[in-house]
Amino acid sequence: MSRTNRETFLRDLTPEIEKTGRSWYVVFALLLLVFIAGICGLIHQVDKGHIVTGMRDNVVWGVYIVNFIFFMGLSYAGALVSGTLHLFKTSWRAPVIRLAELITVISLAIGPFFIFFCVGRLERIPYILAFPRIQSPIVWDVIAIMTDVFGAAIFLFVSFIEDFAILRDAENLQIAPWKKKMFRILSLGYTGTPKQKKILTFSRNVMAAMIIAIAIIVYSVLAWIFGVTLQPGWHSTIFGPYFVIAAVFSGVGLLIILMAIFRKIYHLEKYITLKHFVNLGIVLFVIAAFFGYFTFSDYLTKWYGSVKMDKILIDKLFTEFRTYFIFANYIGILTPIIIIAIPRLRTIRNITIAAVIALLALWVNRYIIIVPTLETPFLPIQDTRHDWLFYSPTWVEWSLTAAGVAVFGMLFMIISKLAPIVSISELEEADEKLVNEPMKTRES
Amino acid sequence: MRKIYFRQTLILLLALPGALSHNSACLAQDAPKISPYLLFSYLKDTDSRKILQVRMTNITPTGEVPLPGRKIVFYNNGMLLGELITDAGGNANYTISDSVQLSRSEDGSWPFSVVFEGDSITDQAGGELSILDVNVEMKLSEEEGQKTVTLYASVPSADGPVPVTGEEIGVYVPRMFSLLPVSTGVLDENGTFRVKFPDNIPGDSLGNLTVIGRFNDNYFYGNVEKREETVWGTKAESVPAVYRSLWSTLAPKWMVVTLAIMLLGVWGHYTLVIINLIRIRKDSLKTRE
Repeated sequence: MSRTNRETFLRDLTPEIEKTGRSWYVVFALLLLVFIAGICGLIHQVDKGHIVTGMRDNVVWGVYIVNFIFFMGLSYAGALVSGTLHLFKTSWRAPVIRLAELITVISLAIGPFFIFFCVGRLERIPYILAFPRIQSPIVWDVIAIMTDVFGAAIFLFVSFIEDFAILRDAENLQIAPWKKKMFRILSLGYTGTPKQKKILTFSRNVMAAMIIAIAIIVYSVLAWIFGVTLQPGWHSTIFGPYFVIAAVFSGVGLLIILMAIFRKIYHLEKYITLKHFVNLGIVLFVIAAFFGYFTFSDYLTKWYGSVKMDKILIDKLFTEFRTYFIFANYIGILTPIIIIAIPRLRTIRNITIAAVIALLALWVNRYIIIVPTLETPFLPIQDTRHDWLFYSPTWVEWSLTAAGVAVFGMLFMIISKLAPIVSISELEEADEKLVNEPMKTRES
Repeated sequence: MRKIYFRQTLILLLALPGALSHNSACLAQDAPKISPYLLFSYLKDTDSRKILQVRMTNITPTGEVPLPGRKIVFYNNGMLLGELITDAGGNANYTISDSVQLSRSEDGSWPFSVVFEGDSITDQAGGELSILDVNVEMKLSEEEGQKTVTLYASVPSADGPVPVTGEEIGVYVPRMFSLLPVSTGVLDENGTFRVKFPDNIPGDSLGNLTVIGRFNDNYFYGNVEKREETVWGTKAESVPAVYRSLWSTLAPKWMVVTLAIMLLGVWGHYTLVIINLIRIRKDSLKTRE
């Protein structure tokens, strides 16, 4: 690796670590306000009980569980994308892989909190660990998420070591002493000797492979919580792969959105180019097609079977929930397909719009998987008061949802001040390949 | 163009919560009043207590939904007896006190009626019943291993009890949600009905079960019953310890083995990577020396 290239990368990618502009503080303060509003909502909920939410006897899962599944999906998608890009040595991965890794860990740090917001009697949570029943899908999920948290953290740390070492050794880096100390500790003394490089590469490969497997299994487990339940709309054998595909769909969408944001704000136009958007756009296209296929397959078989409760559910989806159904399953799927399929439309702006629509559509998709089913129970219970039978999220739920999104943004902002948002070591590796490959061609 | 793009995204994001909340608000405004189904019945139980039973429900496409919290007013021949609020199951069971002198109609029956006045979300409803008083006696006997149930029904009169004839009566045992009919038949000219009780009805672990002799939803008498505990049932076998169900503490072996293998595999790899990180640290220390 030439010293000049490293200096160029450091010059381009580290200004955000060295100094913080006023706009960063303004945005961070705004997000903090949203977060505080969420905390107010949470305090109100703890004080008054779950009666302040829209959840009642029939619809016991609402926006909180939608958010939980959504954030967990983003996390698994981040893991799948970053693991796959690394394992298959994708040539264009360097500028985007760090973002995918961060999505994995940050989403995973936020998602499970929505479970705590959803359940009452939080003091009983330790019972899940103290008296687990292995045959309960909830216990599978707890074990899976805990395993995933550790795996994602190790994966992220392993991928950061080389960059920490580069930042530690950077002589011209104007950063606070505590940051220097942090880089020194976290780099584990890595100096890039052949032995260390070999061990680190092996470890990264192992973790990349593990993280892909774990992401598929863990999200399938989450899907099975629904799939093993005898509820109309949930009791489906394809829910495992369907959820995994949906997760990747939303995750790729979020990755594209973050690429667009950081490219613009941190002036990364030189590194994150149209090529990256188009490549990820094509991934979004393929996943959208698969997602559409799974959705169609799931609803077609339910509709054709004409089981009473499935029929009532599908009628509900096409009447009361038709706007959301059309947005989630038509607009959300077809928009990315159309934009990517027509080469003329493949601009950064259009691909980002497609990604935003895909991401929102996926959230709505989760909503119409959960709420209409719970509004269509096999055994009606207790009251028929309208607000007990039909779910409507309250400001408390929306405030906590917004707080989740705000925390996601804040964590990204904080991390972007501690380490480069684009992996310098990956860029160096890609650069080395570029230099070596023409030489090999010449030799051959 | 960039501004429009930003605005579109913002509108989309802001519209979502509003749209989702609006959906239910619209539905709430459009919701029609509940047209309740009121089931009114009479029960004279084994202790000769007279109970007026009301069940209020709403028939929906997904099934029958109980209507709790509704005030039911009970009358005898226009005279107020009392009022009750339906419970979580939509039931309101009014027990007529022995001190109440019930009014009779010309044919000697007690006319009962119930009224639900209606409320902001439920239409009004009501029901009427005419009941003739009857007494049922039940005798359980066992001769040479043959178990027999004898029922005798009579109507009280000034000249003493008058046997009931030609009416259907039955022998039942309770099961989880309803009564299991063992045998039904017609009362003879002496007002009696005799039936052999089968040997294969399951009881509890000791063979205990409850035998019920009963007029079931009779046109004249409503529900009138006598209950008696006996050891005529077969002994229930205890559930084997290995039996797996959702409420069991035992997970199937394949599940435990699969989970153990998967967790060992994953955490084994984590350990391997952590050991590698320690190796990097050690190597760097060695290089520095």
